[in-house]
Amino acid sequence: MEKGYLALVLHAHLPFVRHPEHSDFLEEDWLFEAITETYIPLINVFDGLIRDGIPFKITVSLSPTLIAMLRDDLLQQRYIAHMNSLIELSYKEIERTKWEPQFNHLAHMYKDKFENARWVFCEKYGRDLTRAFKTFLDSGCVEVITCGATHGFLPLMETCKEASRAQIRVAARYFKDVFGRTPAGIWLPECGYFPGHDRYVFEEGIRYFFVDTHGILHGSPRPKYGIFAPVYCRSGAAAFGRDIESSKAVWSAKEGYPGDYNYREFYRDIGFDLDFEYMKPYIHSDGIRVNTGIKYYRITGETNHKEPYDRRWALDRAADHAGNFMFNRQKQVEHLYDLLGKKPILVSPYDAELFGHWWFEGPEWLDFLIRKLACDQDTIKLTTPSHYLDENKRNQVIEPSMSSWGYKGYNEVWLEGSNDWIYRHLHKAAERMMELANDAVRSNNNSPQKIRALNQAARELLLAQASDWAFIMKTGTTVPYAVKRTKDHIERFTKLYEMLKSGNIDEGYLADIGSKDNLFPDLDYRVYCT
Amino acid sequence: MAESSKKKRTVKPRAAKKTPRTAKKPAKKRTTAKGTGTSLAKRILSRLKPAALRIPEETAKESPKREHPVASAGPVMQKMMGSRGYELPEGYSDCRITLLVRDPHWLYAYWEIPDWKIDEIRSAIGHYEFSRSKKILRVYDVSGINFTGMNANKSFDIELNSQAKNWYVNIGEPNRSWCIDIGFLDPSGKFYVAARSNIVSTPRDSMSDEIDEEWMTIDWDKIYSLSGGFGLGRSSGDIKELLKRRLHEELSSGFPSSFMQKPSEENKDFWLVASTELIVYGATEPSAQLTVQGLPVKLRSDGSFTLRFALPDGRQEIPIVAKNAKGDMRRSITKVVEKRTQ
Repeated sequence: MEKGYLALVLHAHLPFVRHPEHSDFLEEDWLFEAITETYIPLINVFDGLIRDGIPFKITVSLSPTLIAMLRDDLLQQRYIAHMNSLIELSYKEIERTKWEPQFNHLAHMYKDKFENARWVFCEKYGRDLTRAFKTFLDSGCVEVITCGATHGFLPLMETCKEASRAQIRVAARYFKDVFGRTPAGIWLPECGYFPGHDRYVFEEGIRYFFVDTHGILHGSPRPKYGIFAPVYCRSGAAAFGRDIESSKAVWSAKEGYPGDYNYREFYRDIGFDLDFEYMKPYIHSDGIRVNTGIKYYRITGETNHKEPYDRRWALDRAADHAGNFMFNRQKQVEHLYDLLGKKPILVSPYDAELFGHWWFEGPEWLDFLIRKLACDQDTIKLTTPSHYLDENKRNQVIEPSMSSWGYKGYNEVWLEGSNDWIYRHLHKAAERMMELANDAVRSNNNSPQKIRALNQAARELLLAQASDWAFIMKTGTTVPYAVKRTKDHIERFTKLYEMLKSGNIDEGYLADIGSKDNLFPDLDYRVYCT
Repeated sequence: MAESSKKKRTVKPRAAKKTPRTAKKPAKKRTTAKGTGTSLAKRILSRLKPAALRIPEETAKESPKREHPVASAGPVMQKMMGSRGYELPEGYSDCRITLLVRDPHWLYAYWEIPDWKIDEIRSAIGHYEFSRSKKILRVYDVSGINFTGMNANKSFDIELNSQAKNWYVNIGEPNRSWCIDIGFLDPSGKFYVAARSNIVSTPRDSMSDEIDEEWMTIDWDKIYSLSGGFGLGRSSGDIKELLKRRLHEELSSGFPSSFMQKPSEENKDFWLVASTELIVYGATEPSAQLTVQGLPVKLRSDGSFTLRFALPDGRQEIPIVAKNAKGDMRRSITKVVEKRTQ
């Protein structure tokens, strides 16, 4: 009999980046890299576990913007073109490295991976990877949940409560459109909780959300079981707190697994390392070098000197690390079980893109971990939050404290000198959207064109609110793009607002931005009504 | 052959990814040695430094007016932006001040006071007196009350410079409710309000004082300590410090920043790399069978071929053999290449 539970949670998210107006757009590569290096490897892990009859439970949140991109025809076509080009490159690499066996077998590995990715994408799941997640959801092994509509950081939207509610409501409805059911849970963007938002979650029929450790610990009244049991908010939604020890094992720069010297070095990519003329067809059309995903070295050590990657050593380490993670969780659970007199639940959330993209061996680590948990022990049982709630109906009622999982635990990452200028515009746009929605609902004279303009205005507001833009401004990388996206969506929103107020809608303009910012086709502006 | 690294970088994944990039920072950082915009070493140092010691560095101050860093855009962005470039409005002709919570100890306020409002206050104060008035924020603690403007638990003033449009306010005390008026303080000390903010509440930074009655006997320090991942045998004061420090570690990424191209090139040593590749090219009858080092090579439709090899140190013998379609004619050429790195 188990003594406690482990809930692994992978949060998959990318901002909506889709530029039909450009034939080759750098930031669209974020999606392509993530599909090849993270989403498909994870899909393969889950498919393999199901094939082998390994019982497991895991929670995966897919942000609505990511789902929208995965289902978008243009991006699907571009992904296939991207993979065709990458596969061509990998064949050239096999030839080029013929006299360097240590690289040659890696070139073969990449060719195999890319061909597999193209096959999984095109053949197995008919270009739409959300079908894979639908299958997993139906199998009961993977609890797919939602996130804020465009990953807007909700604690900084409080000046217009309808804005936070709309982020959650649009997400829940879109999830239902795609997966045919109400999401069981939601990953609040950046784990950003603001007291009262649990009500919006509950109103959509969503059972639970997650908060960072101190969101529960500083909740009121005091949480009897700390973070080792969920709590109910007064609204009726449950909150699960993040476990620190298991987070550190993976995330921590000092203690985390991904820094192991045998693992693959992320920053040595042939897109930057090889001769310009040779790479030219495979980098950006303006000659900007980009990551290809073909990387031949291992982390090796602290210095610049890098040794060739050895796949066998890396997989051995991944297996060791999976064993270590399991051992530590067993000890943790046994200790807590005695102390609490109750089976604790350890909630371990990670960014999905950490696995495979950043930590190349991450998907294999997860595979080893799940198999070991299933076959080698019975102290810990994998669970999902809704499964846990089904089995444990009585939980303490507390109000969690405002918190996020960002640096320093609150709102500072998204509210500091580099990005604070956006809020006066975002808040104004949200108020205007609410005004437009209320006016339109009161009026019984809404032409189809006006309704389209209202829905598009809602899309522009949602896109402007994506937390990614503020985050990028803070980190200082690709800042101009984030600034431009913020301004573009505010501009588009403002123009639509002015058109709607004046009653003169420019159809050409509406059609143009509608073809660019085309996510959430069934969005209904009335989510912004008071 | 030495494949030395081009980029100096740490191998610590999260740390390496978040160091600042090439984009120019037109505005000064508000705070130092604590954000992610500092070197890894500094960041580790700042982690070890108790949070309490850092507080004096942070005094209420205006956030710098930031020029949008379009100037530092790469070639793609410049092309994308073209000559157009929408600029957001300075304001919306509102008279208001908005308050946001940054964390348990800090608030952020932004405002817009249109000229008509200033004129109105100027007339009320009188022109001469107005020129000697100060523009201030009056910060009210309104915890647990229905604020009327007169009944705050306590308040304090922050003097603003005339250009400021926003401010970070250090309120020092968590778990309280706050409201801010912006206005002018005339020389006699009379305050003329231009706008009043929304009310916000800061979160707790420690455990709640409220305990469910039936659980009075629980060892809360133990629960707190285990939940924070700090192990046992610590005092609540210790644990509070540890948690604060824990929150300064980066255990999340926000946006997967590893997508954003290359790591920091700051502090890079002077460097040089050189590699060699060998190109073998030629042509034969388009219908011929060609092998290079024994392996078949596909010919282009005109019969030409090109092969490219990374060339390691040492000697390579490269036999190139062509056979005609019928298989009765054969031509061969052998290239011998030797490379050394000194």
